[in-house]
Amino acid sequence: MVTKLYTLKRTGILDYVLVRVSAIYQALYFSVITFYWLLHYPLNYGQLNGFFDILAIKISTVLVAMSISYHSLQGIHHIETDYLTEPRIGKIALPARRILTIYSYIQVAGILICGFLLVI
Amino acid sequence: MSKPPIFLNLLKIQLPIAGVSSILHRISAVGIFLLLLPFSMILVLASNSEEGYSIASYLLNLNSIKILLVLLLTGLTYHYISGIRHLVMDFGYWQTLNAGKISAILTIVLSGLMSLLLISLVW
Repeated sequence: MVTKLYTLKRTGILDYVLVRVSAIYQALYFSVITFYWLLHYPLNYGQLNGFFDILAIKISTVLVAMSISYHSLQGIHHIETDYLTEPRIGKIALPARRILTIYSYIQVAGILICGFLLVI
Repeated sequence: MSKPPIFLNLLKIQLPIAGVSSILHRISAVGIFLLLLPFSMILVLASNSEEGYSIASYLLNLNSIKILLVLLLTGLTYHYISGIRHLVMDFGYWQTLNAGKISAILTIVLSGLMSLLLISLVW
């Protein structure tokens, strides 16, 4: 089992599957949220506050924050290894990739904090 | 070692419609990446206190923020629909040239319509 998981990780199949799984989860979450908010369209503070008091919504909001962070880290990694390469933009590629990676980690931390702040 | 040929005259490169759809998926991803955090901060502000809610509704009434919000929502809808198309293709359907063309056109048209709807909702 451990070797199997390790092989999946080394070949990138685990990343491939997890990106799709997190995408499906986010699609479901945002479909439900959009449907709910369209039903209660001119929404006010009480509704918004009460919405994030429902336990199921709390759990799924934290989960969606985690899944957005994973998905965006993977996506930014794909984009930067495709476009910010030395043949394309020259010597600046490596520092540009590093800056973008650090920025994406900061941003992901922000998204996770927002997710936790929404539910407490 | 031979170098691969590089042809970068962007005005002469014509992407097929499926390619346009694919690059739009990436562009919308970058747009969402840049805009999601500020707007989730506004959502946190709005849901945590009554004063925060009024500050947030003041912010969302500014025209510049409305434009950014429409951009974010358009990007999200496009990424959503195009992501579903990519998932269907990952499972092995719609993989012929014709099906790819039709689904790419459908994706762009549908998300264009959705974006018009969103503009009318935001304003």
